[in-house]
Amino acid sequence: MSSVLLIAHGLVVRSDLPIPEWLFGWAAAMVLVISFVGLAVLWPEPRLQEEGWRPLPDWFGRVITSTPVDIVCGAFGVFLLGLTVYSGFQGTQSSTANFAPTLVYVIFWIGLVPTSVILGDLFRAFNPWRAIGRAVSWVARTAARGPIPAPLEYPAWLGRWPAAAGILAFATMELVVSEGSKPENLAIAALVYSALTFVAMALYGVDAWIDRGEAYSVYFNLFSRISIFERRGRQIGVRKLLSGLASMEPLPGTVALVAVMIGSVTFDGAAEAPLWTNIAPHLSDFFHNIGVAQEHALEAAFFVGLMASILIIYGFYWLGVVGAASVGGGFSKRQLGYTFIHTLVPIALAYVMAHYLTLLLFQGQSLIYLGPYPKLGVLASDPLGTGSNIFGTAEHAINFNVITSNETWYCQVAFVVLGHVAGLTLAHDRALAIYDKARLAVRSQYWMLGVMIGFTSLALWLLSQANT
Amino acid sequence: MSRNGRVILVLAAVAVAIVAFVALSGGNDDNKNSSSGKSTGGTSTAPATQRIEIKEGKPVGGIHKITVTKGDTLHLVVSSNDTKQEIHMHGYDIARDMAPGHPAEFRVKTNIEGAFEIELEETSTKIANLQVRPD
Repeated sequence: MSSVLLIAHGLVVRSDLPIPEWLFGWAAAMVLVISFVGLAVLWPEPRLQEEGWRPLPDWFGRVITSTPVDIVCGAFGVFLLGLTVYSGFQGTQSSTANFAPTLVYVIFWIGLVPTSVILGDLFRAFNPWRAIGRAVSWVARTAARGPIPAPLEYPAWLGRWPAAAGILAFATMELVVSEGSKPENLAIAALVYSALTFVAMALYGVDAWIDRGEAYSVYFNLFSRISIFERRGRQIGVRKLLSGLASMEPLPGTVALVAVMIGSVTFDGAAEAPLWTNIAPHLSDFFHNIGVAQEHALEAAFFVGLMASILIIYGFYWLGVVGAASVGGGFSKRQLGYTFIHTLVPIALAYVMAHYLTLLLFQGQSLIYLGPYPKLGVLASDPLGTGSNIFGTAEHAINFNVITSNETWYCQVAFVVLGHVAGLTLAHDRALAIYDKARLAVRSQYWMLGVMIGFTSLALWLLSQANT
Repeated sequence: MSRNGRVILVLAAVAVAIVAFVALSGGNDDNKNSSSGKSTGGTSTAPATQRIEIKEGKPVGGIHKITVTKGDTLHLVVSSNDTKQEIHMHGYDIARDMAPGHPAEFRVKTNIEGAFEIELEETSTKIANLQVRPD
């Protein structure tokens, strides 16, 4: 029997048109030209391995990092988490008329990505789990009249693996679970995730878990490394663009995390393409035939699709690494894999921005309306979808004319090409830094260039296949 | 990298640029001609009425694809002999009731570009994919 496809995310009311063929062709040609010219003219000595961090005026850092600012930001994060859970349980169960899905999937998940890239690791200040953890540990320290060491040390082998698992769970909720954007389910997921985070913080200490294990801290921190702004102690300073990525610690699990980041966006894009919409019903029927209930058979099919996308990204990266290892230089494949993984973060950024640009610009208006000037949107005034009008903005519908299809296409292609350039630059710089023979550096770069061109072509292809 | 290596790479880039220019500027013109031809055709003759029939809760002939140019008036009739449901056009956010003998009729000036789903609301069954292309 054939099953009718139920589309998983109920938040997307307007999807993108595919980019025109001629634009696809030009973009692909441009990527190749830029790559060759880039390799020919890029600098001969590494430049990004040192951040060149310079502090901004002292008063600025002291104000931004002061305790009152920390408390206000943290409290705002806790308030939003609380409002998400409350609206999820108490509000209407329509995903577009309730505050929770738009806050979680649009403002938080997508909106914080460009914010982190531009302003730095802002989420750290607003992170509700960090705020609660720090408040609790302050109370405990005060009661015990001294520092309380965490019962366990964060194991080195765990690295970024918990973050990879957390981001995979989020992507599964968003792209696989058929009622994943139902407000009530989001409230439950937020509570479960909070509980797990509090247990982990109690075991390993608040800061250790936030730095390594807490999925969203790690996720937004990776993107914030592109930013020129970085906090050090109580100072805020500026560094070279992208240099924060070069100084990223190559912890275990990082390759998996980046593969999950790129693979999940790939799957979301592919799910709109004919390739997947033709396969999915067959996969779903297969699961139904082996005894999975109809409503879960489609979820099983989508989970297979998600994992396959992630594994393809993971495998393709390792292929490039195996190639780069074959040129010599005495590095193991594992070493090289972790040495170059930071170069894919700009590519992950390009995937997110190209794929979700219009979702952010359109659905995001439910919270921040983009008229002639930005103001609060309908969900700010009516978070539960019950007809309240707290700020008098409940009448603002979404302005679908903030960006035309043509402008969208040019932005999407620009993101992909810029991501490619940034990835290529980082890989070039890293190769110069680790190989003592210039000839090996060049030969290893051909392999990394192959990886970049592969990911960039895939991104362009997905854009050209959207909703066809 | 040696000087020769750099020269070879720049030459490769120039070669790609030339090939792309020759291959794509031809394709580009064709594309523009055909699309402008299409859009003049679209504006001079009003788009025909689109009809979708629903049988046992599913669109007959699978999910329909409707392509219009922004500014066109879309005329869509959804009918069924056995299904009573609300038909919802997302994005434009227009809903019409449909019942046996009472088709749902849409007459919409398409002023938002993009791809939109048209669904049987209660069962979330996608019946058509509406594409509104820029003019």
